[in-house]
Amino acid sequence: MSKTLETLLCYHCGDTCQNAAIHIEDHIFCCEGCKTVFQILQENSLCRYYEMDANAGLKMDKPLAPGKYAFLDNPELSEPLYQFKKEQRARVQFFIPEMHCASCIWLLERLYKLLPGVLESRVNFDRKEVAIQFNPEEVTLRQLVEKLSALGYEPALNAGREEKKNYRSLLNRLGVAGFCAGNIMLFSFPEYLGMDPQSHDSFAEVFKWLNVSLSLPVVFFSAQPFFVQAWKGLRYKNLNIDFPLALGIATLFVRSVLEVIFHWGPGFFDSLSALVFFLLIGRWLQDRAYDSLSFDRDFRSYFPLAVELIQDETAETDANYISLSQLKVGQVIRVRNQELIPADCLLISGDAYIDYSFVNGESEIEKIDEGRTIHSGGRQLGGAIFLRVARPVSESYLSALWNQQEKKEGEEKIKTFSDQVGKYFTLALVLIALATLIYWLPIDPYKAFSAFTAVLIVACPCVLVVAAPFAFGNAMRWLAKKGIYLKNPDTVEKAARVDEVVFDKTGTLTEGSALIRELKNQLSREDRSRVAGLFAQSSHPVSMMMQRYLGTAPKLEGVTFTEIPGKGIEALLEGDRWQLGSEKWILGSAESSGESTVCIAKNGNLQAHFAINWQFRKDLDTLFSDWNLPRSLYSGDRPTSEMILQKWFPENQLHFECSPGDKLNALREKRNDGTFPMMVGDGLNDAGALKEAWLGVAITENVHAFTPACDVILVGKSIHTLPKFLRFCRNTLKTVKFSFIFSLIYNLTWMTFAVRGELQPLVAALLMPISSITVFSINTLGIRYFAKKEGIQ
Amino acid sequence: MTIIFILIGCSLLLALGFLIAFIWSVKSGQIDDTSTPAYRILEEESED
Repeated sequence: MSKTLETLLCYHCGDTCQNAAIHIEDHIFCCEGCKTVFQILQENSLCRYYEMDANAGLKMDKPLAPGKYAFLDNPELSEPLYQFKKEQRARVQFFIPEMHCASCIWLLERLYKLLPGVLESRVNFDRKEVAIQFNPEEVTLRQLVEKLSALGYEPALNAGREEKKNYRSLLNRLGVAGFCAGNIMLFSFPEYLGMDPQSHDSFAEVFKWLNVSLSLPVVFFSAQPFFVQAWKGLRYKNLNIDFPLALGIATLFVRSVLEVIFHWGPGFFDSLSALVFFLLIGRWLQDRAYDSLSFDRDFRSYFPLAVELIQDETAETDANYISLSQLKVGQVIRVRNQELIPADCLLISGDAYIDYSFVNGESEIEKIDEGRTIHSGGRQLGGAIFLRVARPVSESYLSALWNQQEKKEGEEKIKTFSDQVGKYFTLALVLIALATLIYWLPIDPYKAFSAFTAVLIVACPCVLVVAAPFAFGNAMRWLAKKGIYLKNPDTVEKAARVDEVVFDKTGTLTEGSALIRELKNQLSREDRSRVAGLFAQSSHPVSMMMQRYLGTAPKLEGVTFTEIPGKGIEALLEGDRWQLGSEKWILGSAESSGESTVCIAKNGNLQAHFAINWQFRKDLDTLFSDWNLPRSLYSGDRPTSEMILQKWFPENQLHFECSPGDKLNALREKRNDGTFPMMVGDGLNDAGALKEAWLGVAITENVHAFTPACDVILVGKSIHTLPKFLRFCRNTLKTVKFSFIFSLIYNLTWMTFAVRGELQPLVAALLMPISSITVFSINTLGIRYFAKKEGIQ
Repeated sequence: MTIIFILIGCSLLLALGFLIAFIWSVKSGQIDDTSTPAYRILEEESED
C-alpha cells in the first residue's frame, strides 16, 4: 500500500493526521469532527465536495458547544437576524468567514439536500455570504445555524458588520445616464455633421427640445449624488471634491437650457449627459475597488492574535495557542501579567487587577472579584488569571482599539498629501475657473461657459483623494500575506521615513527557546512545580521559557505577585517569599561568568541557579547584511554573547543592562535629535519604547502578545524581512508621489488648454477618467512590481 | 419627412425598453454578485 508510505493527510481537511487517525473505508481522518462531516456528506451522496477541491474541508477538531445557539429559539433574539419572515417562508443572510473555495460554494448551495425545510441557498463569494430561504415550520433558525456549524461553516452572527454599500441605486443612475447620453448624442448628430440648423427648422427645434427633456433625468436623477455631497460639504463650510463637479454640471445645464429657450444655439446637452455618465462610471469603479479592499480588512484572520487556551482548568495540562477567531464561548483561557483581555470573560480564578486605560483612557486600576465579568480591551496587571469566555470575540473592537490609540494620545497625525489637496486644490480650481469665466465673458460668452466647465472638470482632483489610501491599503495587504501586520494604511507612510533602527535582544534577536544549564538546583518536586506556577504568571520571554523547562504549571492559590521590570518576579506563596530573577537583583552582585542567569530564591536563600544560553535566530546574517541604516542594540540583559553581536552592531552601539525606562529615554533622545527611529522589540516588555519610537515593531512568537502601543506586529520567523519591509514602504510612498506628480502635470497641461477655451467640456469629461485610471494603474502596478522585487509576493 | 418623427419615436421606445430591462436586471439582483456565477458554472448537474 502506497498510502502508508506518504504522510497521512486527513481526507476532509488535509491536515497531517496524528497517530490516532480514524479510518473509514479508504479514507483517513484526523479527528472525530472531520469524520462526522464526511459521514453527513456521504449519507446525502454529496461526496463530490471532495472532488472539486482536494481537502476542501475545514478542520473540525473543536466540537461545537451544545446549546451555544439555544438563544436562537428565543424569538426576541432571533428576530433581527431575519431579512423577512412569513409562515412558510423566511430569509436570512449569514456571513461565513470560513468560505474559501469552489467546494464551499457547491456544498452551501446544496444545503437543501442536507436539511429538509431549506428551500434555496445562494452564495455571494466576494462577500463570503450565503442567503438562505427556508420554511420556518419545518426547520428552525437554530437547527439551520447548528447544521452550518456542524459542517464547519459557522456563521458569524455577532459580527455586526455594517451593511455593505449597495450599488443598485448607483447602477440605476448609471443606466439612466447612459440611456439619455446615447440618445442625446444621436439627436446632436445634425450639429456634429455641420447641418445648418436653420434650413430644417422643425427638426432642429424638435431635437433641441428632445435633448432638454432627456437631460432632465440626467441632471435631477443621475447627477443627484454630486449635488447632495457638494451641498453637505458647503453646509459645513467645506469645499469638497464634489463641489467643482456639481458646479460644472449646474452651469452647463442652466446655460444649455437658456440657449435653447432664447435660440442662441444648440446647448451642451451631449457634453453634459456624457460627463455625468463617465463620472458615474468612474465612481462605480472606484467604489468597487475600495469596497473589495475594505472587505479584506473585515476578514477575521486579518487581525493576528492568539490566545492561550486551557484544555482542562483543573488538571492544568499544557496550554496551546489558538487564533483569536477560533475562540469560542465557554472556553477557558489564561491571561498573564500585562496581557490584554481578548473578549468579555468571567473571572474563574486569580487576582484580576484590570487596567482599562486602553479603553477609556483612565489609568485607574480596577480589582475584579471572582465570578464577575471582565470586559475586553482591559489589561491584566499582576499574576496570571483564568477566564471563561462569556461573549464572542469582537476582533473589530480590538482592531479599533489598536487604531484609536493614536488619536487618544493627541499625537499629531501625519498629514497626507491627499488631505491637503482636498482642501486647497479645490479652492484654487474654483478660483481659476471663475477667473477664466470672467476673462472670456466680455470677449466670447459662448466660449466663456464652455471654458469654465472644462476647467472645472478636467482638473478635478477626485482621484488624488482616493489614490493614497488605495495604494497604502494595497501595500498593507501584500505585507499581511508575509506575516507583517500594519496598524493602518498610514503606517506605510510612517515606515517609509524610518532612518534608524533600535533592537531589543531577548525574544527579538533570540528565539523563544534557549539551552538551559543547571548551575545549582535544590528545588524539591513540590517547589519545582510551585516555581513553574510562578513563572506561568508572567509574559516575559525568560519566564515563559523557564516555565516550559520546569514543566507543567499548577494553578496557585493565594499568591501575591509582583513583577519588577528589569529585575524579576517577587511573590508570596503559602507563607514563603519567593524571588525569581536576575543574579544581580537576588545575590546583590553578579559573578562575571559572562552568561545570562536566572536565580530562584526562597525566603532569601538561593535555591536554584540556571545559566541560559539564548539561541540567536537563524536569519540574522541575512537581516543585517541587507541593511544600511544606522542601528543599535538596547538589551536589558547582561553583556553576553558580545562577540556574536559585534558582527552586526558597531561596538559603541551595544547597550546592556538597560531598564525599560532607559530604552524609552534612548528613543526619546533620538526623536528629539530629529531622527525617525524604529524600535523592534517585545510587544509587552518594551511597550513604552515601542510607543515612544516613531515606528514600533512588536516581534512575537505566537502573535499573542498584543500591545496597542505598536504600529506593526511581526511574526518572529519573519524578522529577516524587516529591511525588505522598509524598502517596500519607501517604494510604495515613491509610487504614490509619482502618481500624484503625474496626475498634477496631466491636469495642469489640460487646464492650460481649458483656460484658453480650446477644450470642449465633453473632451474634458473623457480626459478625467483617463487620468483616474492611469493613477490607479500606476499605483497597482508599481506596488505589485516592488512587492515582487522584494519577494513579498 | 414625418416618417423621421415616427422613427425617432420608435428608436426612443426601443432604447427605453433596454433601459427598463437594465433597471429590472439591477433590481432583480443580477449585477449584485459578479464572481460567484463564474464558479457555479463549473459545477456539474449530474446528480440532480
